[in-house]
Amino acid sequence: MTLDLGSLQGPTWRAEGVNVALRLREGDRAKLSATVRRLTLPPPLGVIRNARITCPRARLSDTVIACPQGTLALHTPRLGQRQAGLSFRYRTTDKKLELHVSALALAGGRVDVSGEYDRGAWTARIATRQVDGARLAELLASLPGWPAASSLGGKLDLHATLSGDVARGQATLRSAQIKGSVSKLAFSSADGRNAGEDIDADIDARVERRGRSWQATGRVTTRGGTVCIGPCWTLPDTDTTARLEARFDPTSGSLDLHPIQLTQGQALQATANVRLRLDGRPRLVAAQLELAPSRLKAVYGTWLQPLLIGTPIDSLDTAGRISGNVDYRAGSVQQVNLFVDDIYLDDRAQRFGIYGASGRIHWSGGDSLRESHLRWRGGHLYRVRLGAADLAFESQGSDLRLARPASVAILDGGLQIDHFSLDGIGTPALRSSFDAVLTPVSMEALTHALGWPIMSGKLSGVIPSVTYKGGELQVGGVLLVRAFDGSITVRGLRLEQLFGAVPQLYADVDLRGLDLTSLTRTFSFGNIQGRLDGHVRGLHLVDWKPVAFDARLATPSNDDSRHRISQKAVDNLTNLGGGGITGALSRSLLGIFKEFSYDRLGISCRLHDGICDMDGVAPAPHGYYIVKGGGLPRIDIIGYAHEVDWNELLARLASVTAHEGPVVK
Amino acid sequence: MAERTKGNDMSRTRTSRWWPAGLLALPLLLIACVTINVYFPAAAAEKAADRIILDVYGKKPGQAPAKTPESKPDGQTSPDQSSRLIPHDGQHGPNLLVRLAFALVPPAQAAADLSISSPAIRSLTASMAARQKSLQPYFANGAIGLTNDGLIALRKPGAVPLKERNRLRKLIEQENQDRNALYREIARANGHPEWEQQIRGTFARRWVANAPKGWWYQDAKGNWAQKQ
Repeated sequence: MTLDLGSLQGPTWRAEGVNVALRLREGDRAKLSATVRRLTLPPPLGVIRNARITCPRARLSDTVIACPQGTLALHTPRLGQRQAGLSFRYRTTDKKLELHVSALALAGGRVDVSGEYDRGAWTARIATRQVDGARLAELLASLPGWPAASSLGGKLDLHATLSGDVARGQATLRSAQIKGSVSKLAFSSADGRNAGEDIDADIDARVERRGRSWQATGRVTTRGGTVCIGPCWTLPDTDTTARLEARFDPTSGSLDLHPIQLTQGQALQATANVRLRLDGRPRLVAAQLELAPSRLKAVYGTWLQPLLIGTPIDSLDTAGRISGNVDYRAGSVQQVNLFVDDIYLDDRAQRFGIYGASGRIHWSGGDSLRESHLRWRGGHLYRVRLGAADLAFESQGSDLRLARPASVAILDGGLQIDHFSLDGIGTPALRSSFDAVLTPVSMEALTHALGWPIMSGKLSGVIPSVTYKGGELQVGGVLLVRAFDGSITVRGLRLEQLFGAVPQLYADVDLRGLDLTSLTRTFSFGNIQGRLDGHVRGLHLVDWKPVAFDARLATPSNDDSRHRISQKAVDNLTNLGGGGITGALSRSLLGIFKEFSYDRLGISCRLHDGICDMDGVAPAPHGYYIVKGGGLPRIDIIGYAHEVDWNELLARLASVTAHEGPVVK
Repeated sequence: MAERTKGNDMSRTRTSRWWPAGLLALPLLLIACVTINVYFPAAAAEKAADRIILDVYGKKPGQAPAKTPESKPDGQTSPDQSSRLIPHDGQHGPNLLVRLAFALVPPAQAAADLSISSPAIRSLTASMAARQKSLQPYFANGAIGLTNDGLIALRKPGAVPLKERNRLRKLIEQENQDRNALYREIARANGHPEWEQQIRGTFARRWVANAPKGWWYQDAKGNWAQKQ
């Protein structure tokens, strides 16, 4: 029996050239085949040509039409010719329909689809095996709402179950579940900003409608890969699981993510509760984050570091454990509690480090006073070693202060901090002030740490008020350096853009009674005996190099110490003057005497625009005395140039002190 | 050498331009408060920008690479009367006199129109030149471009492999820190901090003008265009 049904039409579909052939066998058995020449379905399904259903063992009875082991063949413009297994069962009494399409070749893999309709409720199951993401994306590209120019890659093994109802000819979704795994998943948004690659993951997620709202539970376990949402996160190679429960109310636009749990093996465990409003522009209403004791290396290295790129703390080596919680509500952070246990922070650029820090940090918004406590075993600032410290803080709103005086060991000395406060935290008007006493630090240790020529003496000072505001650090008091048997005082010390690309330093320095013997020994300049007084006013360093100052160094007028200058020092001075040929001339004459006597010596230099305006202790014919002779044997050194190239002078000074000058025999 | 001569010409031009202003100001000072405007030296700024930019891009301008005056060999800066040791036959026995001339400053440098030789400017230039090798491929494939405020920006993230993105983000941050510091520092080193924005504007144009074909840049309205 053959039936030519011609064209059939529904509200959203149209079938042309429909032909059904039926050959009855014994009982209710039959062979059924049907062909549709052209089936037009709503997009994205489009036009299917030459669809053919064959059921060699169909069952036809009064109540049931069934096709247990049939086949389906069809042709679509996008997929080309396809074949798949087909089975269905239709009960005429209650219109229950079961349909299975199996082993449909799609996007390099296989897809099984089954559907069921029973008294107003429908269920669809889709299973993919080794479906290629990139080829699937090509097929899905014409779907409405599929993001244009985005890309997908990887292999998908997923089972999806969708169920819903049909009421008044309209199908609605009630629940959806997706389960399975993806391997080497890659994706990218159209602008490339959000992307991922090499992601292996297991997925188990379920969404269902409860009344008017939607509820979702999900679990994703990843092993390796990279995800970028602006910044990029490298996912750990070990199992990292995110669990989520969510509830969305379309009428209020309120989305509750309650809870989100992140577990990274034993290394990290965090829970968050988040409420978002999605009506209009999405915004965060409230969030609570709870971090269970976790490894700082995982918290910082995996999750925080990508968010900190471009800040001074974007390349740290870390260790230790951290836990805490943060509460955000009503547009601002309400409370932060942090607990650190034996943590290490070490800047890879070697600018700072804190070792073995433990303590608790509490902060609340509003006016409530909270106490914090932090201690560490050691650390460093650039190459200066810091010792242990034990600090107690009080915080109130955006202000923080030291609750009681504390001390931090610096090399072999220490900093006694009487007062420290940080006001306006989190605002552009961040200010800090600081009162401290620096107990003597030996210059040997300090100069060694800084990689300078080793100096003897002590550095100490009263630092009555250090203020920090807008990247500018100002030291109010006087820093006193006891070195070279004399004193060096530093006033008006000011640092700008301390952690910027070009730090700037301003200071006024006074020098009193420096012993030239130890000074010249330190810098291997050749021995000079006597004392030295002077000042460096308006010192300005840019990137730690001097660009301006007004310096004057000279023998004090009341100095009664022995005044001698060695031939090596004289020779070095002449070399500073740029002498090359003078060595030969000097040797023969200087060779007679090991050292000479002088009355006064001194030099002044006003540095500006790379030029040093030079002068000496007294005017000389056509020049100035740098060393004015006196006693026996006597020597005069006269300078003639009043404008000296600063860089040239520095280069020569460096070569003289580095090579210890020429040896005069 | 040709450059130095030009520098001299420039300083002479400046002196002659300023003299009448100074002469005018003198009597005026007696009767009223006078503001003397110092105009931004646009041509000199462009020349200074080009020298830094070519250094950073690693190109040689014309035949000779741009050199800072300090880097000239010793012979030029040390005049012949440098240091001499002259015996002095005084009445009190041996008496020696050492004459020191130190290194004299070449006049061209002292009167340079827009100085770019401060240590900070040189270290910023060196730091940017070192970074340029890493940035170059991203400029070439259009991942990053030159902005109209003299900085650089990520314009096509999709052109950057995911594994390189954080590193590139850091390079961009560092480059922009250096560029901001450079503009501020040139203005400051020349005694006119208020010139910073004009220097930035000059650089923004010159980065593009000196860039190779195919690089992307922002026009005045902020739209990206490819250099032809």
